[in-house]
Amino acid sequence: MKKLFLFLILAAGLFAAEEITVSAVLDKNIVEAGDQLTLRVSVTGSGTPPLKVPQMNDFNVYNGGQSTQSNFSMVNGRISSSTTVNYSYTLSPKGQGKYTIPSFTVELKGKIYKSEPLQVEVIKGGSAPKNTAPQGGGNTPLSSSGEIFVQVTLNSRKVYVNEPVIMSFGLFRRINILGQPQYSPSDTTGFWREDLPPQLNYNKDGYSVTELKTALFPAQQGEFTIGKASLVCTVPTQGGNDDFFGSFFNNGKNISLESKPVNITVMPLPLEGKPADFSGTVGRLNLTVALDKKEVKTNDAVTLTVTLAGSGNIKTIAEPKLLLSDEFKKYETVSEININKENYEVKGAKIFKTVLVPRKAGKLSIPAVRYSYFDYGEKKYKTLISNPISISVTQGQKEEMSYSSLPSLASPEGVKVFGSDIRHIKQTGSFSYGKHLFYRSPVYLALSILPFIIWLALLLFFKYQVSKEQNIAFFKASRAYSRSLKCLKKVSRDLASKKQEKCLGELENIFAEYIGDKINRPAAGLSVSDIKSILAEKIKDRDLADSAAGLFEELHFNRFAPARKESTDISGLASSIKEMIIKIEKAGL
Amino acid sequence: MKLLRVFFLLTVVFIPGLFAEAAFDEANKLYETGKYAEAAAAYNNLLNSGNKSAEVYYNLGNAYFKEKKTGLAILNYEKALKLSPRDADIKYNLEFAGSFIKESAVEDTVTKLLNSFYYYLTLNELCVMLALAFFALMGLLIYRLFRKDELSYWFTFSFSVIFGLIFVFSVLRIFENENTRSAIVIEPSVEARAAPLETNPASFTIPEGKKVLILNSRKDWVEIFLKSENMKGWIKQDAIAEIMP
Repeated sequence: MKKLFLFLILAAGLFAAEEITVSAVLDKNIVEAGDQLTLRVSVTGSGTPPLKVPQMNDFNVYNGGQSTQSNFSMVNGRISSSTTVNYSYTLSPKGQGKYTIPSFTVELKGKIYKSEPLQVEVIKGGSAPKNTAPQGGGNTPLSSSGEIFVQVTLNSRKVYVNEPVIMSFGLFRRINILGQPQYSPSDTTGFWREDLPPQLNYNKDGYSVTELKTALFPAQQGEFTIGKASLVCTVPTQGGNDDFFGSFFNNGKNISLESKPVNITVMPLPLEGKPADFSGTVGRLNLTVALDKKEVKTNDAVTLTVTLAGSGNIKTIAEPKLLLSDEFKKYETVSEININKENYEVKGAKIFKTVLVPRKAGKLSIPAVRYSYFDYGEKKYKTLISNPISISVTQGQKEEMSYSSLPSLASPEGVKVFGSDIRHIKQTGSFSYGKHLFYRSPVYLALSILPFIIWLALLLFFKYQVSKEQNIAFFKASRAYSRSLKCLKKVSRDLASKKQEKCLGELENIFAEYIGDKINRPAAGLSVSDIKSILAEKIKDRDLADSAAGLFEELHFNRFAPARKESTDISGLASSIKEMIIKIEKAGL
Repeated sequence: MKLLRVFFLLTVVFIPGLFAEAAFDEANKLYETGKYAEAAAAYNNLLNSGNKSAEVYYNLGNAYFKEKKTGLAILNYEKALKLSPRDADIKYNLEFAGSFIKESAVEDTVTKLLNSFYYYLTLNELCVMLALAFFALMGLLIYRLFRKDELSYWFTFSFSVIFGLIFVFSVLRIFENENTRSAIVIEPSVEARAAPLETNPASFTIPEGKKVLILNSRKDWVEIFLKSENMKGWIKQDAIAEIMP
């Protein structure tokens, strides 16, 4: 029951504060160019949705953070809670003129809440009238002739670029001040600034003086104005001094004090006598060069320390150039700065340390270091030259080891890549007409198959040849008949012109070849008995075989019996051979 | 009469070549004076008139790259690489342009090496090699019909092995060429959907310049496949361009 009640009042509280207010406030409405504005935006309401920051192109905007406050209040029995989120922004105007800072918006449950837009006027710095609206309430500007005033002085009104100028801000007073004064230093745009503590207190002309010193280093030549410095302090109310109660209860009043702006001329460094290797450094310097080891092994690291000590703008001292030979591998130079502000002067040293690795053994020397700078005390250029340093190097271990011992330092050599891009276009092109794929073209396929066809044809031809050789007997037998008849015709035609013996020989040959072809045997080796037996075997007609053998014997006899040559009837013999061949053929040999 | 005919034939063959060369130089000059858009148009004209060469595709890719059209640059580098797969400049620029798209899967060196070996030769070079190996093998077989000595036996043996390897290789490449259609995304971050419908919500986006495989096409939609990510989706046809030199 109790819980429910608690829930109910909380819920009521939540519903009650639906309204959100957004407000934006500027610390000043008129601002000098180069000065800064503080913008505070507060969002009050039940929920705290994120703030939408509008575009402010005329200002550089720096986020100053946010803070959250929560309130619970009980009015007429209703509890309401609200949260306020304060956002703070620092704006610095980019130009001059009148600007409007647009509304800041917040969106909650579809409703948009806006702040009022603000007007800002940016005026030219220095000469333009400053916003004199009272700031903490009741600040009265006081003239410098009074009991209390501030003053800015410079030790020199005409300096060279980067020559130190000591600016003193002094508070002169005859009366006591209450509490801690608020000091806002003068605008020193164009100068490198170095505060010189501690503050100085002394008495002068009956005034009690508090002095703050600052060293300024002009960054560039030209006419500059050191803007006014201001101090807000609380002084006792005047006339109340002798009133005990008055002074006792007096909280004093705030006064704002301002110094007069001071002009300064910054001269460029003289061209006359400017060394070629002038480093750009202005100061009063000393040079020392030292090496941490005099005896090392090759590829061992030694540290070369170049120290430039003196007064001036130590931070801006340029790095001295080391003219080292290839006998040393040089790594990146690291610098450190020591600054000492004793006696209201910026002094110190910039120390340059370079790691060197001797590459070869022997007596090596580090050449003298030259350093040219401008001495503002003597108002002329000076060149410092150190003594050369010799170092004896003995042969050490291999190079690869030294790489691993110094992994963090980059090698000064090798290809340096500054940026990568595509490679350039090609100037000559080879143009082919209608890029086709070969495997799709019938010509390619035909050409590819061609050797296969040749091979196949040859293979088949040879196969045929072999088989023909195996059937040579049949071939001969099938042609024996027609051939023998043809030869016989020829012999009988030639009878008249030829000698008898020759004709006889030819006749015998014809018959023998016929038989030989038929029985697949060489004609030359046939004998009568061979013919008889083979023929008798091949043709079942024994008489025919006998007569054929008889004819063969007769032919044989005629040829080798010269006595009977005259009487032989060659044409008769030829016709009988013919008859015999026909008979044998018919018998089916 | 016959001489005239030969002359006519020669002019028909060489005049377009001379014309192409002049147009190529013209386009190169445009490129070198920083007129990349005009140069790209000139290279495209040259390609459209049938003068396809690796150099033109490469230069066109460069022109597109300078125009900040990474997708089109990669497309043309890929086309150039198909015609001239061993060209170091093309490879370098393709890789360079590719480094501008965020690849979720980076090829390891082994895959890279295998790929460069597999695509070392163009299809035509491979076909010529196949034909030459086949000629040699057949020549040896014909020789062996006449004379069967031991030397020719070993020659025939090794050539049949070589021929077999090239044959398998060629068949793989030809099949790949016939069956896979790769394309390059040419529009900035294309939305791929699960179905070829405009109303379907996008399932993933593909960066410009990404290589995809085309699986199917329907009307103005294509189904694509991302090999390294193993993802499928439908995208509009005009968001990609096929690599077909």
